[in-house]
Amino acid sequence: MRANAVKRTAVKRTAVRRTIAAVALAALIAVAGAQAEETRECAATGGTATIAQWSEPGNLNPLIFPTTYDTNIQELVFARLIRPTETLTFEPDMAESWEVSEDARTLTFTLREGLTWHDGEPVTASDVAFTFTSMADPEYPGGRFAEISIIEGAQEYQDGTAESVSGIQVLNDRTISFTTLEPFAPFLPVIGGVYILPEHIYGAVDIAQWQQDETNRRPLGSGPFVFEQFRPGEFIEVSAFEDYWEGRPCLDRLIVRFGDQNTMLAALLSGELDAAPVPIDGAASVESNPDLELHVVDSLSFQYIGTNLRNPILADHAVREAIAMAVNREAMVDGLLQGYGSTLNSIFPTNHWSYPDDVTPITYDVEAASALLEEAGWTLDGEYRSKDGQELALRLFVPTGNQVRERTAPIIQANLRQVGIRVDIQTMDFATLVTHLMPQDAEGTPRSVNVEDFDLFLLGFGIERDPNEYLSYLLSSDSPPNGFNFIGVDTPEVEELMLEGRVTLDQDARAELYQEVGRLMRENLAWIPLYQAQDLYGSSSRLSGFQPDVRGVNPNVANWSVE
Amino acid sequence: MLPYFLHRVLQGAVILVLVSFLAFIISLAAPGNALQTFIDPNIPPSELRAAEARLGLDRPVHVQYGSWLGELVTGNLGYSFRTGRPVAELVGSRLGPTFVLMGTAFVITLALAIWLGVATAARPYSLFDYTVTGAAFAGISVPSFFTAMALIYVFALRLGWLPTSGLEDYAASYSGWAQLADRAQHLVLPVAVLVLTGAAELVRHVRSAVGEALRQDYVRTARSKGVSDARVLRHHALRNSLLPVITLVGVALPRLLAGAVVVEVVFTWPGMGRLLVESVFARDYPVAMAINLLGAVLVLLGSLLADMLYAVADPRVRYS
Repeated sequence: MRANAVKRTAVKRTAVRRTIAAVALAALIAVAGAQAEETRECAATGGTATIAQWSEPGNLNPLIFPTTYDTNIQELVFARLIRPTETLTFEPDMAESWEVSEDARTLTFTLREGLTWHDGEPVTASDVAFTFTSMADPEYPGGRFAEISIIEGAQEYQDGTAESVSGIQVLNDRTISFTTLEPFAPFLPVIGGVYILPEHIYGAVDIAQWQQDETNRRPLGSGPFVFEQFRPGEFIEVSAFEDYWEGRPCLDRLIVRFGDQNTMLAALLSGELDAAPVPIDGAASVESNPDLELHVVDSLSFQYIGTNLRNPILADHAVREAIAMAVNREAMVDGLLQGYGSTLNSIFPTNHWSYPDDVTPITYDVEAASALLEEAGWTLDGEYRSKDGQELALRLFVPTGNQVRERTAPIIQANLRQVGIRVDIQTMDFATLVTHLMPQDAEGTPRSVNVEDFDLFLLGFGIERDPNEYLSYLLSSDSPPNGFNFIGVDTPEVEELMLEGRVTLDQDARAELYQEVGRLMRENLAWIPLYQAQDLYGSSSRLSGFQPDVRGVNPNVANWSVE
Repeated sequence: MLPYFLHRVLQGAVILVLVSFLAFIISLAAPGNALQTFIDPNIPPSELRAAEARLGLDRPVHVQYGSWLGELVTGNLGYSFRTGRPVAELVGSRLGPTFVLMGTAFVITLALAIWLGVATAARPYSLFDYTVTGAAFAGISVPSFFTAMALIYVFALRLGWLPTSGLEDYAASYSGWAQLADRAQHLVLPVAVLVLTGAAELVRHVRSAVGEALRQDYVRTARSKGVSDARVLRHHALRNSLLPVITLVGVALPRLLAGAVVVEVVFTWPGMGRLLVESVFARDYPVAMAINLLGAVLVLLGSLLADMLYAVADPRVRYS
């Protein structure tokens, strides 16, 4: 009896142990599965959506000179370590968490488990290291080295004096750290702007040939959609990535067409497109169409009149202020933008934390403007003013490509005629304007700007990820040929604040610095801000989940579904 | 005939080099280059200059041309500055759609213009003649983008009979006959615009050529011999009035592949004309030069073809 009992107990214990092991294993698998792939709630799964954008992408390799039309597509195919939220803070994407070191110079990211590329290979920290290191490669042709030059060792690697970038450290398969030369406030936005490339694909291509290589037209990443085809001049097709870490997108396929804005509007109205950007003139047709919904989205860009401060006429603050007060910006918003936008009074977008809400508004006051000019010595001589035999005449360079902006030119001309300033409008394509703002000499060598190059011009600017993007525009040392300060801003106070903003990590303190810059630039009026236009999109009732916002058209793309 | 033919080919080669050199000089004379088509605060001027150097844009113009010509002779048309895509591939991908669009439009234009031209020449100053001539003037005067927008508005938006744009329905995966039908549907409006403007121009030339032929002595002779009107038209007048038409055909050949920019842009048709305009705005010299070269080759071929056809059509013409 005894022997049997022992045997039965022994068997029972083994069985119990086995059961526990089995349950534990099952639990582990469940947990691991849940970590590798989250599930997604879809209104409907499957189907194809067709959307449009106004221009064809040039390069699909995200490290080659990207424009918005390029990143719209790259966002679908690639993923980043972190990505922006609607308020432009950053949330985890491929990285599940990150840590900042004590001295604020090192950021360590931990990748999620189970991430794979579209071809099934696993995503590892080496891929991340490869991507960032490539940007510092001496043969790298994509132009984005300056973004990551702040990383320790990047300059040495670029110069060829180092074998690798010392500030990029792969700690293990899922962990990578970046160390910067000094605490750099915009570093998180920089990381958030780099799509990660698979080393086994892009590393196999000679980096000097990255633009010419097929991979620039057939990208492979770890984003929600897999690239299918690119028919130049027509469309790009992507399909759902089954193993996307956040859960398979609801759609089976997404087609992005490119075409002229009016044609795409017509296609949207006729039901051939599920979503498209809508030109302001088309808003009424979209709104009156029962099958379509109009989305009005704030943007982070604005339009301004730029001045050439080397011109003695414009160097006089009184003249700039008179111009600012004589232009009827509200009329532009009401008439040209049909209310889809607002005026702004500083150089930062109003909906960003860098905008000083207490900034003194620029008032529309023709009489005060005339008085200012009179006091400055510009007396009326017929229709226009003159001083010491010189007429108050300025050229206004207008780049084509933004119809609303082009239409502001005659308004500005008429407004300024009212106060006695003669404006000569010269319309030109964008590249031609660039040759005036950043001129070259007869041999083609970039040179500094002089009085002849331009007087006034119309241009847009804004924040893509961080206000530090304005730095080169506001440093006196960064006038062409060194940087983008073609206006010639030379205000030491502004410079100090911009440089301090780079290294101030406390968000509140940082905001205050940029807001002060905003107030100073409002006083200065070297940039005369005009308006901030909203972006309009139309979507059909067939498409659900379409939620464009400041980040563009793709937020929530993985949740889009069609009935 | 052969010596003449060879002479023309040799002449053509010389003209091609001259034309391409001129096109190159003019393209590079336009202000700005491919790296100046955008301003990106994250890409400082030093990076842009480095990129220019990589593309060879910092070399003197004649050196750049020599380099382009040298590559061309080895069969390499270069790479697009904007996208890095091989130019031959890019331009090649546009040949098909352009030829389909322009070819269809050309055949229909020719047929329509000849039919109407002959018909109005045979009934001069009749109501029919005035109507057709009036319509022709309208067709020439109305800008093609207006015609295009009007047709899209009526047939695509209001009536919903036809699609607004594109080569085909990109979301559907048609094949076989369904794909052909879909593509044919997408072809209707762009071809209609081209035919309306093209036939308008051509019909007046045909009318005057046929009218001129009908006033000739041999026609009066034929009529007095009792030949029917129809046969007079067909057999005597038409043949002789075709000479000016042949000239126009010769000129039309380069247009067949040069495309029609406005129609292509409005209908987002992936054609050569649209590509040329886009490449000019992007200062994408390799692409612009390749299309330019193609155009020049076609003009030369077209005029050679026209001259050959003259020899066939007109026994008075002899080449030695």
